[in-house]
Amino acid sequence: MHEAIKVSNVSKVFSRGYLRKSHKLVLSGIDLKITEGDRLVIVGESGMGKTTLARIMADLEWPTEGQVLWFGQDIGRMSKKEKRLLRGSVQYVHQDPYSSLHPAKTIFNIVADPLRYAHGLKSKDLRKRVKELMEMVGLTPAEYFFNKYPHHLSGGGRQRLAIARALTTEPRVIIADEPISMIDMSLRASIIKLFKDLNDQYNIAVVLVLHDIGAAKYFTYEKGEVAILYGGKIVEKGEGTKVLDNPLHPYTRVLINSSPVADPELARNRQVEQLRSYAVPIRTPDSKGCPFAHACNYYIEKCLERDPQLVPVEQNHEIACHVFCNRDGVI
Amino acid sequence: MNSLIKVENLRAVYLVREGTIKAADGISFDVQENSVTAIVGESASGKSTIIEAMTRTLPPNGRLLEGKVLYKGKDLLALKKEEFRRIKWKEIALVPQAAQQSLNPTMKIIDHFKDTIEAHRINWSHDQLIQKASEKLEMVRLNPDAVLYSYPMQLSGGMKQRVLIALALLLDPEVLILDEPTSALDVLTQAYIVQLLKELKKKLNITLIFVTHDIAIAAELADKVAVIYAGNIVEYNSVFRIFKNPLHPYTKGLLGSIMAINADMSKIKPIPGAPPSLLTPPSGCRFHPRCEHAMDICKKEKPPLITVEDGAQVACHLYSQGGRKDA
Amino acid sequence: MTKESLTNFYHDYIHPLFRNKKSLIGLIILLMYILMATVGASVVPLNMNSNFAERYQKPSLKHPFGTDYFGVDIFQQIVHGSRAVISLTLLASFLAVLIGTIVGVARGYLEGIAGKIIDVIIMVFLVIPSFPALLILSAIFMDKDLNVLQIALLVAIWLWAPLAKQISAQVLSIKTRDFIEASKILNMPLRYILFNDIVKLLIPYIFINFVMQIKGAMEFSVGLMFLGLAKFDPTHWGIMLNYALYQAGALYTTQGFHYLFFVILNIVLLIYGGILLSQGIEEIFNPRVRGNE
Repeated sequence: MHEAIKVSNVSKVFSRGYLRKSHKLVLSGIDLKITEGDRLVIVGESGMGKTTLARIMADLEWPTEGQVLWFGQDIGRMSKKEKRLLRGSVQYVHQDPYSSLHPAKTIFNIVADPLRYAHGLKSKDLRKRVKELMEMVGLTPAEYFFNKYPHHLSGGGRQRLAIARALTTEPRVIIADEPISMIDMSLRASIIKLFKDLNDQYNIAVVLVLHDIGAAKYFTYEKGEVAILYGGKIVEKGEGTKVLDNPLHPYTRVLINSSPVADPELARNRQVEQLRSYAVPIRTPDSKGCPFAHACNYYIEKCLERDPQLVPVEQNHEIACHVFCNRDGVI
Repeated sequence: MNSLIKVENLRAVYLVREGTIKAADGISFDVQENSVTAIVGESASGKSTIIEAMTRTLPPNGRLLEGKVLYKGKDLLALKKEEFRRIKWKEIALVPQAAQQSLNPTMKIIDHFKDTIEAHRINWSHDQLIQKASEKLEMVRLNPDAVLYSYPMQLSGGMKQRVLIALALLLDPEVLILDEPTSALDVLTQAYIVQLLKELKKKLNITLIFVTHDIAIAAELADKVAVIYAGNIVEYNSVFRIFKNPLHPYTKGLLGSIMAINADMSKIKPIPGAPPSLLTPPSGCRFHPRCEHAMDICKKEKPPLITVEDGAQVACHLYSQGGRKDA
Repeated sequence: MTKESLTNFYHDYIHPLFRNKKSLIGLIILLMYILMATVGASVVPLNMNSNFAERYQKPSLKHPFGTDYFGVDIFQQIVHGSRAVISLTLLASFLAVLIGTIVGVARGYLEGIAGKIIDVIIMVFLVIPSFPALLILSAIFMDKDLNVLQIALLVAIWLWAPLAKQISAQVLSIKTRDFIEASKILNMPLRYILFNDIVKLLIPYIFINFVMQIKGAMEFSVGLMFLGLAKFDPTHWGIMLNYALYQAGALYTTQGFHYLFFVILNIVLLIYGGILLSQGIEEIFNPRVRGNE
C-alpha cells in the first residue's frame, strides 16, 4: 500500500515581533506517515502543536523545515497548478462546526456548490449526488434538510454536514482536527463511527487529532496508529492497541491513567501519578533536551541536555525517552 | 443525614421570539450536608437552568414559574434581595465556567477579589484582602505572587478555573456550586482540578454541587448523581449504584454511548435520535421518542420521580414504587 | 449564463423578495415612486406659475396636497420632483454604495502595501470637508453642462468613503472565518469566495447603507443645485423642503403645515419603503434573523 501522506523531519517555528525577535518552536523533528486506507490518531493536549501539525499535513500551513509528501510528491516543490489538482485528494474538517459552515447558505448549497464548480454537476445529477453524500454521513432523510440552514442542525449534525462537504471532492485522505470536542458526549461515538465507516467502506485514509484518549482507543482498536505529541515532539507512536494498552513513555502513561473512567470504584482506587509541572513547555529553536524533562518524575541528567529520538521498543511501537528506552531498544 | 438544600418542583422557562423554551420542568432533588452531588446532562438539557434558578441568576428572558429552593429551611427564591445577598457568597458560592469569560479581561486578579468583597459589603483592609486572597489561591495550588497581579489572559484555562474556585471560597462558604468545572480543559488539567476538588472537600468540609455533561467526571468525584434529560430529572442515585445498575433507559443509553477508556469498545452504541427541542418538547415522557422500551402510557403521561429500592429515584413508567414493574 | 443558473438565481434571490412580507411592501412603495417618476410625470401636468390668490390652500379635490407659498399645486410638484429625486438622489446613493463596496472589498481582499494605499485613499475622502471641496468643484465645472450621471457621481464622491471603511473591516474579519478556508480547501474559484462567501454576508449591510445614504444624497443634491452645479429643479423634494423651511416660513404659520407635511411625508415614505425592503433582504440573506421556522 502506498503512503498517502508522509511528514519528514518537519519543524515549525513561529516568529513574532517587528524585528522577528521572539521565536517559538511549535513542532520539532516530526516524522509521521499514514498509508492509504489507514487510520491515524494524533493525540495531544492544547498547546502541544497538534493543530499546527494537522494543518501542515493538510497544506494549510507550511513547515519551517522538513518535507510533506502527498502520494509521494513533495508539496513544497509543486507548482500551483499541480497542487490544485491534488488539493481535492486531501480534505480537512475544522474543529468548530459552528464557524466552518457559511450561515447564509442552505444545506443543499453547502454540499452542492463544490459539486457544481469542481465536477460541473447539474440539476438531477446534482441532486442525486447531494442526496448520496448526505445519506453517507447520516443526514437522512436528505430532502428534509435541503432548504434548511446550518443553524437548524445540532453540533453533531453540523459536523456531519462539514464531512459531507469534504467528501464532495472524493478525497483519499481526510484530516479532522478535534471533530468531536464541540459535540455532546452521547453523540461523539457516532461521529467517530462515521469516520470508521468512511474508512472501511471507501478506503479513505483518516487522520484525527484528538485529546480524548477514549475516542482514540475507539477509533484505533480494530486498526490504525497512534502518535502522542508533547511539546511539539512525538514522544510515542505505533499501532493503536500497542500504544494505548501498553504505553511506555511516562507522559503517555500519565495521560492514559488520568483519562476519565466510567467506573466510580476504579476512579477512586487508581493512583494517578502527579507530574512535577503541568505547564505547557515553551520551546525555542535553542531549547535543549527533552521537552518533557521539566515535568517528568524520572528524568536524568541526559534528559536535560539531549533531545531523545524515537526508538523502537517492539514491532510497530516506538518511544522517545532516554530513561525508558536506550539506544538498543532495551527497556 | 439531613438535607442541606432541597429543591422542590422547579419550573422555569426562557422567552424567545419563537415561543417559550421549557427548560426546567418540575425539578426536585435534595442535597445532603457535606456530600458531592453531580447533575449530569447534555447541552440544552436544562442543567444550567437549575443553577441559574438556584443562584437567582436567570438571564433577562428567563422566568421562574414555580418552585422552591430550601436552604436550611428557608426558601431562597422567596427571600428579599437583601436577605439573599447575605447568604450568597458567604454561605453559597458559585464557580462559573472559566471558558465563558467569567473573568474580566481588563482587571487584574487582585481586582477581582476586591470586587467580590465590595459587592458583598465586606470591610477588609487592603492587607487583610491580600492575605485572605493569597490563602485561597494557595489552597488551589496557585502561586499568589505570580497570579494576583496578572491579567486573565496571561493565565491558562486550568489556572483561570482555579482562580474562580479561589474567588468562590473567599468568604468560606458552606456550599459550592460549580458550573461545568472541567469542560474545555485538557485531560491532565481536568484530572488536576478533580483531585483538587476532592482535597478541598475533605479539608474544608463543604458541600459541593456541580453540573457537568461528562458523566465520567461524576464517577470520579460525586457521591450522588442526578441525571437530567430535557428539563427533567430522570434518575437520582448513589454514584456506585448508578454506574453499576442504571435504571432509566436514558442513563443506560448514555453510559453505553460514551467512549470511556475502560469501556468495551465493541459494545459502544450511540442513543438513536437526538435530544428534543425544548420549544416543543415531546408529550408525556420527553424521552419516549428515543426509548426502546416506550409504551403507550409514555406518550401520554409524564412519569413522576418515584423512589424505588434503596433510596434510588427514577422517573420512568417501567418502575412502580418499590421496584421494576415487569421484573 | 445558462438557463439553469438563471432559474437558480431567480429562485434563490428574487423569489424570496416577493414572498417576504416586508420586502414585498417595500418593493411596492418603491415601485410606486418609480412609476410616479416615469409615468406620473408625463401624466400629471405641471403648472409652476405663481398664483398668489391661491396660496397656502388646504388639501382639496382640486389640489390633493394643497398649494404652497406661491399658490403652486404641491401634488404636481411632488410628482415631477420625484423624477429628480429618483434619478439624482437614488442614483447618487447607488453609485456611492457601488464605489464603497468595490473599494471596501478590494481593500479587504488585498493586504500588504496595496491594502495600505487603499486605506490612505479612503482616509482622504473621509477627511476632506465636503462643502469647501464642492465649492472648488463648482468653480471647475461651472460652465460645463453636466448630465444626470455626472452630477450623481459628484454627489457620490462624498458619500462612498464611510461604507468602504466599514466594508473593508468586515471583509478582513470574515476572511479569517473557517468557512472561507473551507472554500479554499475545496478549490472554489476566487469569484465564488468573493461573492458567494463574503459579499453574500455583506448584502443586508450594503442595502441598509444604501437606504441611509438617500438622506445624505438628498442634502448634497440640494447643495449642488444651489451652487449651480446641477440644473436647478424647484420640484426636487429637497428644494421644496428647503423653500418650505427657509423661504416660505411654513414653520411659523399653521397655514403652512400641509406644505411641510406632504413634502416630509413623501421623503419619509420613500426612505421607509427602502427600510422595509432592506429588512426583508436581511431576513433573506441572514436566515437566523427570521422567526418561526
